[in-house]
Amino acid sequence: MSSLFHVRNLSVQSADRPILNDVSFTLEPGKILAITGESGSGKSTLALSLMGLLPPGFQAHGSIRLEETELLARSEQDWCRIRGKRLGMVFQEPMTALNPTRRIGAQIADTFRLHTTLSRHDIRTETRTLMEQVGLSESGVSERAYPHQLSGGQRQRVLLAMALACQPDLLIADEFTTALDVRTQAAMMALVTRRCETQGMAVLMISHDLGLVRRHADHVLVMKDGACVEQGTTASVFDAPQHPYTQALLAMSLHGASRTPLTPLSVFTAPS
Amino acid sequence: MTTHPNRALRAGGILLGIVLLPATLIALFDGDQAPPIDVMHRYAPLSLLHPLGTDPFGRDIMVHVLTGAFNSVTIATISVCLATIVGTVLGLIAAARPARAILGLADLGLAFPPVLIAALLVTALGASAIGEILAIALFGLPAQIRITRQAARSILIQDYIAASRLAGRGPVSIMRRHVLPNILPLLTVQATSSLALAILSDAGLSYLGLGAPPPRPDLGRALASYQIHIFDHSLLVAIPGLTIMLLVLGFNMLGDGLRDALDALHEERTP
Repeated sequence: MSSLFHVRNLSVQSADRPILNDVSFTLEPGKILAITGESGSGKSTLALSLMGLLPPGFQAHGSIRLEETELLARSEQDWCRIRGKRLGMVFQEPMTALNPTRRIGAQIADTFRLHTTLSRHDIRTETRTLMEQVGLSESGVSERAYPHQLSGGQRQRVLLAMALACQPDLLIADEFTTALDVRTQAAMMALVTRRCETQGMAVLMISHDLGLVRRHADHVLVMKDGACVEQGTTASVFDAPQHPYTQALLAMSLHGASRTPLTPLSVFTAPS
Repeated sequence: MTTHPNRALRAGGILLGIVLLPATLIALFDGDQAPPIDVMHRYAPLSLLHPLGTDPFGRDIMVHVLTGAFNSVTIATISVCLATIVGTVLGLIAAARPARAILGLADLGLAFPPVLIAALLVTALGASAIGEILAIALFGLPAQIRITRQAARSILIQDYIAASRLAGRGPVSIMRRHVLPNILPLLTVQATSSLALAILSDAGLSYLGLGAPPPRPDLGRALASYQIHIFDHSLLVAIPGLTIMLLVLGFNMLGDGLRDALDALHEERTP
């Protein structure tokens, strides 16, 4: 199968220090790549650089290709055409990621307005369909509701609906189930995996939750101090981790092949 | 002092209604010019025909002052609208990118004495309503730029702006769809409160002879022309002064009431 997303030797430098160091991976359509690692390992910076949303003062080098299109060094105008249409992203904080003064229907419809030529009537129909797909309609949420009238899980569904609206080739999910209860988490992941199977959408899932990673990811990439220390299929990484840091990380969790008693300190002092 | 928002709104509305309703009716039927001079009826006492008497030229004081109030509020409103529109656009630009020139000009405007600006404009344009409008708008512009920039920056750091960029929205579109609607309540309150200041500025400029020239009546000029009668006919000075006070108090209370009402709405909608 041909690759959809290629990242080659991606490095990100802030004003005073390197944040990412030579990260490379490829992602095929319909597959889920999980990126895991401790806090501060550069996972979210990686996600932001893939979306062209690095903060001012950060510089990225290397190559990010979406099929044949090189994304690095694109103008903001080009990025506006790509974000939302070919690349979607959901992040972990649903409580503040919706505009409190706008109705949720209008916020979901925005993506259609920005990237399609659908009529107002068709946009409304598509918005309702999307709300049904993410389970908002069945929980009685109207498109005329304001964000403050929704629970955290419902808001996260709205954000997912916004990200999925234009059927993106790649969805970047940055710990998007962290703030959710287990039941809502499962429902959201089911929706995402269904999209992968039916529409060939690739997912780059950033998560600390190794159980979630093991259940849903096809491939895993482990990061430490801004660099990739190990990557491979989920089975190979979980069952036969090669790098001491991965071994320590899995040993700390309930999801590794063999869980050995380990002090927290040893995870951070594992050789890289 | 904290008051019930509806109470402040209502009180502001009533104060403004007392002056502006009859003033608008008079302007509609008689126009915005001064009432005719009638030397046969100078200093006429209070009567049904002249509810507040007549002035040294035999003009009806009530009609004269209310027409002046209408003209003052018109000039103040146009000035505030001008300052709000220009200040908001410049403030949004300054919020979105490093715009030292805009902020430098705003700081310069804040440091410059307003009367000096008015005197310069009157010298350049002649004493006219346009010069007065520009002068009052220029007084309010620096504060408007600063307030808009600060408010817009506080919105631009919100997560929903990042979410909107992720959906593919560009900078101008983000300003139009997200930033402006969110700061609009603040701008409305600021504009309402600025009206009070603009009325005081208009009265001050006209009092000094830097405002719109006669024959259009104006509260500041009425105060200046009647002040020599402060001891013999004190009502002549008290009425334009009281009208200015009612207008300023009314707009301030309206601004306070609006702020409290919009704050309550914002708190309800913000997590």
